[in-house]
Amino acid sequence: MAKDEKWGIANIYSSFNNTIITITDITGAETICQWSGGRVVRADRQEASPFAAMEAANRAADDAKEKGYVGLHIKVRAPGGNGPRSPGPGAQATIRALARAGIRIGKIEDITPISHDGTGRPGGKRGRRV
Amino acid sequence: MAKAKRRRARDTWKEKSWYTIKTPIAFGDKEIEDTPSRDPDFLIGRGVEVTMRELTGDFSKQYIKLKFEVDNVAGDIANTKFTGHKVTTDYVRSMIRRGTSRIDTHVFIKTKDDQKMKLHVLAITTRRSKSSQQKFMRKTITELVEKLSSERSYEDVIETSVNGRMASEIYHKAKKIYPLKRVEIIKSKVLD
Repeated sequence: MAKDEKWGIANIYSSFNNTIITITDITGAETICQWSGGRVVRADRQEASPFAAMEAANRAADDAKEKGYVGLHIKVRAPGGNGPRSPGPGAQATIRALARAGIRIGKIEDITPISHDGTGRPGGKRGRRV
Repeated sequence: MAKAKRRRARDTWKEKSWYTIKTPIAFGDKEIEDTPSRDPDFLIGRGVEVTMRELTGDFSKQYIKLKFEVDNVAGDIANTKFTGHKVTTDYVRSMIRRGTSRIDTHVFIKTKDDQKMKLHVLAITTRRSKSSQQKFMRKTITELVEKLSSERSYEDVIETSVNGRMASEIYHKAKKIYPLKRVEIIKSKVLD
């Protein structure tokens, strides 16, 4: 790959409460920019919405383009562990928005941490009683 | 407040210079990507994940991820060493079906030139097998992998475990115990 065509990684953490986009270089050691749903909307309950994710992704794309990145590999992540293992509503919107903002998308991968054993899910034996 | 913060961040960005990460010679000494850093010392220990497809252009090997770690820096080129490989989770998940058994084996091995490694072998049977058969399978796979790798040099072990040749050797030996669908080395790790 040529030097003027830099590729980075977009780490997307998408839970049911928020969407966090961290764009880093290929090693993951240098952060280029960080955006989240909470930075673009007022209400707490909208942080995880696809709209907030879209806005955040647009701004993240602008920041990345400004620093010379033309393409991004995507690593999507749900909370994992003893939480939900499927990404929240913002993940898909983020990838779409990044692609529409003119950033080339490389490989897309799910990197949700899945425990082989680990602690039990909260809620107890009889489940969460609301 | 926010503005001041941003300006400071931009300043450090301009201070950083770019280093090209290269794969080890065993993997073709290819350029992977550039990484910014303020000091070449900060580079050491940084890891990169590269798929086999990017290295060889082979589309059927897209699911294999190789891990490299920056070892030393010469000028603006960062040289890396191999630290392990991994198969993507979606590929492993697609192999596992209902009514089959998944047999995981992890083996600590020592190559011919005294390099310690850990290999994680996944075998999938065609039908559900008994736990005694699984136990026996695990035992034979362990012995087989230890034997195979003790005859080979470090580079050979890496190459055969990544490109699946060692997995097929295990497959042909181990399918006599119980009919197997697949054998794959899904993970490897280089121990110091």
